[in-house]
Amino acid sequence: MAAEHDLVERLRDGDPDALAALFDSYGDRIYNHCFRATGDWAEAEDATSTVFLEVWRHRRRVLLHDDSVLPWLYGVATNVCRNLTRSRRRRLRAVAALPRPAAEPDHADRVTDRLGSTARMQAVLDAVEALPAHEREVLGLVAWSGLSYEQAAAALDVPVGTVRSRLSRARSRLTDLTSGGDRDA
Amino acid sequence: MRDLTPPPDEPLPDQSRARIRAELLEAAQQPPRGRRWLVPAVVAAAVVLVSALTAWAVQLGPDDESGAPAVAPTTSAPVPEPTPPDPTATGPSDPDDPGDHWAGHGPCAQELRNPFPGAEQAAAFDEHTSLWVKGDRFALCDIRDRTTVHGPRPLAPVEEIGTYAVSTIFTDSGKVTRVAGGVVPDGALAYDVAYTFPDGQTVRAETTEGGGRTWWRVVHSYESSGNEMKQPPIEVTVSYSGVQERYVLDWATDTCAQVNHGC
Repeated sequence: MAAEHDLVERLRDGDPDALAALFDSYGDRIYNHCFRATGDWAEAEDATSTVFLEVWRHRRRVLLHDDSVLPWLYGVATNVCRNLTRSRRRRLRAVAALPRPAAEPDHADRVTDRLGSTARMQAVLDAVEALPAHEREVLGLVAWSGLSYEQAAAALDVPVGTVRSRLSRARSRLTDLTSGGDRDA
Repeated sequence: MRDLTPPPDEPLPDQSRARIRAELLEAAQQPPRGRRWLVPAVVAAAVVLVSALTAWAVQLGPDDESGAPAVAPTTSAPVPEPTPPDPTATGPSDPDDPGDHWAGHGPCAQELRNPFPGAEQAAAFDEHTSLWVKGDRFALCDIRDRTTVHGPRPLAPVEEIGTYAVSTIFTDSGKVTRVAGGVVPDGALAYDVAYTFPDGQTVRAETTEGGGRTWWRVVHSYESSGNEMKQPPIEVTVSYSGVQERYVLDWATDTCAQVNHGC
């Protein structure tokens, strides 16, 4: 991780190429994290851009966790996505819920795939919407983005025990919610 | 039980990746906004300091028989106050005359003439605090026991400790009043500023609109006890756009934002 340490040092020194290198390394991961937070690929693009702009603005405060900048990046991304207004998210979900026009024959398969993944993510987000925001965030970081408990704790600036308890409560709640849904069905 | 597995990861589309990368490089290669105003700010501060010293030296005049060279007052030492005017003396014929008035006791427009000539009021929180703008800078004016004018700062907020400096007024009743304020950055989401003072109180900023901008202000008065240098420092927490900054104000350096009278 010496390379990452050097990268962060260059970033702190104001080297624009270091920011570009950081984006090249982690842009996709942050993009997907933001997609899982928003349920919208376009929104995730904007959020990704915002995350790295915030990284640049606060480059002197970049923190390494176990020689990795990734937990701090996820922390910034989580905060950026959290601050997307509820109304905007509601609007996006409403738009996403509208009936889709039939796929044109000349559309690339990839477009269809993205529409499908958006619908699927919206369904997942709808299912976890009943969770408190801090439990959703832990779920997103650990269960969906694959961070360790320690990395998630660093990202959220909370003790590891808090991450464990939030995740445990989230899973318990989800079990109740989904099994209740099954009973109703 | 419903499937809560998100769809598989996808890479950023190539066009989007190129666009974002170009935007990032462009933003990173712009000169830091905080530097552009530094030179004029230093010059302005020097002019104010020289003016104040000149006025002080003239006021001492031939009565000063000590022969000691004039020494610039520092923020850590008490600043000599001008003698209050004789109540029987005739005031300036023009009430807006910036000349021979008791510094810190005029209206904002008058107190601002020296450090920030030509500024016009853009917003006000109440009868105490107003914000004045000229060009790309602004200054805060606060009228309580005294009129306190902060040094002009850029309208485009700079994320640095100086943005959160407080002015300080000690009153005869043993209280100290700290005032801070500024511009809420355009597009900042969930902007929040909170100050924790030596008396343990945390005060969150209030905001108001004016001149096409959103402004924030923090005011806090508390009992002043002993040497403030030995008290816990004032701490500032700033949250916006998902990022939190913490600043610890240095006594004197960051707690004497006023430019029209001493601390």
